[in-house]
Amino acid sequence: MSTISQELAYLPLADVADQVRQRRLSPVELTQAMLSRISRLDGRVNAYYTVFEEQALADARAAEAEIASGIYRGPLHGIPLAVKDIVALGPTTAGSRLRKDYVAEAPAAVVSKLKDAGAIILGKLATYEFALGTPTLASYQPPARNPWDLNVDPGGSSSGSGAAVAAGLAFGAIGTDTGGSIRWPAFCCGIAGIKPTYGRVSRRGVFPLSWNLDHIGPMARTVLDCALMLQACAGYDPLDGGSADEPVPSYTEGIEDGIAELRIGVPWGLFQESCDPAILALFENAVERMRGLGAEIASVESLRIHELTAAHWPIMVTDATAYHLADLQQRPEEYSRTFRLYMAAGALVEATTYLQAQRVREQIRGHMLQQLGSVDLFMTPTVGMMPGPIRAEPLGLDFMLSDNVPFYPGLFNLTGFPAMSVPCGFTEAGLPVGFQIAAAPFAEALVFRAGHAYERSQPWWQRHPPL
Amino acid sequence: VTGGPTRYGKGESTVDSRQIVEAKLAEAGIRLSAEDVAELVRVYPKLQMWRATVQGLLDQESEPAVTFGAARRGAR
Repeated sequence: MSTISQELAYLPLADVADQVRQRRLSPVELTQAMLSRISRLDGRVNAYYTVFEEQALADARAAEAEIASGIYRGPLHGIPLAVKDIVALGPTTAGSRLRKDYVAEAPAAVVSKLKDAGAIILGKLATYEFALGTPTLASYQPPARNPWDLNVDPGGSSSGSGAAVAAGLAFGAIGTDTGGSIRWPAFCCGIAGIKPTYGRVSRRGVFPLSWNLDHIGPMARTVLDCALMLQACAGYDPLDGGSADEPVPSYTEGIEDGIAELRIGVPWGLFQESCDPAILALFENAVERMRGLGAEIASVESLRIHELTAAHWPIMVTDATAYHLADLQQRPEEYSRTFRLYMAAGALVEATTYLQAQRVREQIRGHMLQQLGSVDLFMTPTVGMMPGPIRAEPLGLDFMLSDNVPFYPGLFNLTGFPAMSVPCGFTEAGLPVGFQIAAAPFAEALVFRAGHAYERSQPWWQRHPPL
Repeated sequence: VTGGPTRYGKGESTVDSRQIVEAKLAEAGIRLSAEDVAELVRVYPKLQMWRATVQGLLDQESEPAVTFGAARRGAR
């Protein structure tokens, strides 16, 4: 199998895993074929910064031998995956000039977990500079491109993760999410992506953006694939101060149970005024689909978008400034101008504003936990704007500081609740759109169950980009 | 480039944004070009507006640390 068939490249991870388990697919041939596809297509998609060809093949040979000897580690065994380049594994640039020569001494905890589960790591995926900002043609690293339209932004900052999965250049990928960086590229690329509960997946070995808001999670073609990946990644890590010492349940048991009698709360006030009408129409179709599947739909009150931004931004950027302060003082010229300005803006936030934002955050969380007494899930459009063309120059501070950008994922970074983006259709221009579904802390299984129920009735993942 | 006056809060004070931005950057040990400083001065009022928004959202009667722990336990 020297060239992977298009059909195989776009199979869900779960289906490929089933074939590997039954020894109808060879991990070595699968990895060779995926590497060949990357070689053929990634020059246009730019999803990968680094491809670990030799190591991936060596790991695939080891997986194949192990499976042949009767040791099967589970659904990731022998499956080619990839990770965002702020996750430590070999060369780890974080999309920056500053870390262009950095080579990680040890893999991130999440990478070790994937490898323990038998996964083959194909390489490192494109991101925005230190997972913030907007990629442009002027960026130090070339920006990933959206497989559905190569002139369009694939979203970010897990941009390579979204692009690689959508283009059939990996069966799943690891992303990170501080304000939507898993869910925005999942939306833009027509795939599923979950930001788990805060502390569910260890962040050890991942460049921080905001200690308070950072999450690690999987991105894959389907909801079930994300569940399989999270199963391997989740768990307590005493070396991550934010890690949650909570038992990890099965994420696939009960995933087929449907959503009859579940109550879904829709916080219309968050997005109704700011959301692009085309996205809103597709979201409303998805809500009706959920109702048709047996869920009860209720309106719940919400923050407005400018309030969400005002609470989220000071925490995120001030945390980031604290992390980058020494480099900002000593070698500011090694950052892009836009990133440098973001970090400098973080130094302008008063301590009282930061602490008040933290208080607001806890009050929002408390309020939404109360709402979860009357609903089981929350559902919103993932975002309310379509991705634009990849720009020649950055948008600058005005965009970043705007308080009416229709970007809704941050609500669940503030609360720490698990939230997933699920594809729910396409615009007239042929670009994918998704909705976001969220639940109580550590209720990822419920998020997967609801997302899977929708996806089974509307399998948008079966459409593939015209590469 | 002059920053001009910035009104923040609810009419509490009028100050020069440029002086504040330069002082805060100096305090943090961050040295930037005049062009970068000018850009920060231009957007500084936005940061002040967010402070007012966050302040307006707060329920001043609450104690967040206690609320957080109790709510979290109750959620499980």
